[in-house]
Amino acid sequence: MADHLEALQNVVQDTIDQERLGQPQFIRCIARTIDDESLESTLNQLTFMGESWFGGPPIKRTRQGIESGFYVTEIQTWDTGQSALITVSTTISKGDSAVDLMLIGSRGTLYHQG
Amino acid sequence: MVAAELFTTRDETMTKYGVLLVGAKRTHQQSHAAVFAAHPSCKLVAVASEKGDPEDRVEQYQELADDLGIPHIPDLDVALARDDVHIVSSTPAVERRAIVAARCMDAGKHVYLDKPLAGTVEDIDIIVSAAERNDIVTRMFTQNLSGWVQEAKQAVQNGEIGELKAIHAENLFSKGRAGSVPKGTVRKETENLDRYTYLEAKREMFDVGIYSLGFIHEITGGLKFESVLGHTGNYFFAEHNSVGVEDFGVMMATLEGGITATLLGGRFGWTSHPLSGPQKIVVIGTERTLSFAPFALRVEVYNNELDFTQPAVDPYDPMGMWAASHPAYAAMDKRRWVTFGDTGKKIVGLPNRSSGNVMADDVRAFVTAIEEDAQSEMDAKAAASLSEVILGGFVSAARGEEVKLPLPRD
Repeated sequence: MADHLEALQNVVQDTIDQERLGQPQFIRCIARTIDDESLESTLNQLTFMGESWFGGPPIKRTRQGIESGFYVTEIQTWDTGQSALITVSTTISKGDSAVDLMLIGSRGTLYHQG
Repeated sequence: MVAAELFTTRDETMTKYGVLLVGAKRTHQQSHAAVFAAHPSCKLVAVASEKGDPEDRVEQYQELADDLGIPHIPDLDVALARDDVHIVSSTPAVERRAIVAARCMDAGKHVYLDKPLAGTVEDIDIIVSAAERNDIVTRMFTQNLSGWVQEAKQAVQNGEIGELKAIHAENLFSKGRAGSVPKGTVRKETENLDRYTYLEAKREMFDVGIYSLGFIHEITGGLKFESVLGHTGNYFFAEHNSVGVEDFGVMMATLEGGITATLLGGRFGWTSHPLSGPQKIVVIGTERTLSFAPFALRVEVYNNELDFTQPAVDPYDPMGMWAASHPAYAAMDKRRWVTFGDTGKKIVGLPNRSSGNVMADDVRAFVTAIEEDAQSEMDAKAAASLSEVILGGFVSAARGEEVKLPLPRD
């Protein structure tokens, strides 16, 4: 997972740097992880990716679901107006993608399922 | 698939319901009219506008009437007095929806309602009250009868995910020329919404987010929303930013039973998606997580045909909301993704994927409810509850905090 996310972060950053999306505006990411102990760490990894693409940390994070033990979802907002919706769950299905990402920019959108 | 192909062969002797169209050209009335006209039990009677409508708006009613070859009655009360009108398809401007709907209901007509229901809590309450004091059928259009939404519903009902704990729904429209919003724009939401109708823009969390809310309503069996957190953006279009309406919104809500719901609604540009825009439902249960999307079953075709390019800006419809005002502004087809549902045929071995025209399916359900003297599942009351979630989302976005539902009344 960590290698996957690192590679994903790099290719997305290249796409942003090439100005193919315009200004990055919104992230929707639905990810799976293997156990409840890694829910929060996976969420934080994904949040870190968003910070790198948006140029800084969110000013607000609102969370639901962590008490369930098998999913967590957050809305994150930035003072620059951007936002993100990130969900991580452990109740996976065989064959599902580990990461389902949609990064929406002001003039284009990037999709990744893998 | 054209609407006329969606129903069995028309037999004029079967026609039972006269349909009055209260809505102009360049509204959803064009789509409603085509579907009602093709329904074997329905017949279009007239287009009606309100007395005192602005002159340019009245012209658009007349244009629709001319296109359909039916009369335009410039006085709603006169039209509603006709005894050959049984159904009203109501798509006036958001600011007029409550007044128009209540008058139609008080005239004893069944009303097919544009979405969302209305733009203020007061207007929502007017519509619900009118529906409750009259023995009529109401239904607000949603995309809930789409085959892929019904598959998600069946999966949850069949216990395939265990107990439902969270649901995500998204619906974004891939139309309009994105990228024009000034760099660095930070939207400041306001609580009091006094205008929804513009030529160049619509409130997109309001207009498109209602579909995502509909999906959640359908799959959860109408569980009540208890709170909502909303965030809106001006992410793409200078047009939206210039009139102060959002082009994108995200919400997180709590439903009764502690279920988490998240949703997206917006418009993000012609070239941001291979087809009409992303649609997705994800259901998270105690045992499994499942995803559903209408384009998941597809083939992709890459050849020497021209790739999609954005159409010229239509001066009457810069965002591409409606049918082009002239062929020069018509968008070319997007042909790289060919979904299994495009054939409109039932796929052997797969659940029903609907007729391929969700509005035809929706109108069919509405007419069936009238025939069976039943109420539709997306009646005015249900539609009101979903519309109020969006209004709560705007309040939340303005305050930067979660808002309890229902919203307070004066």
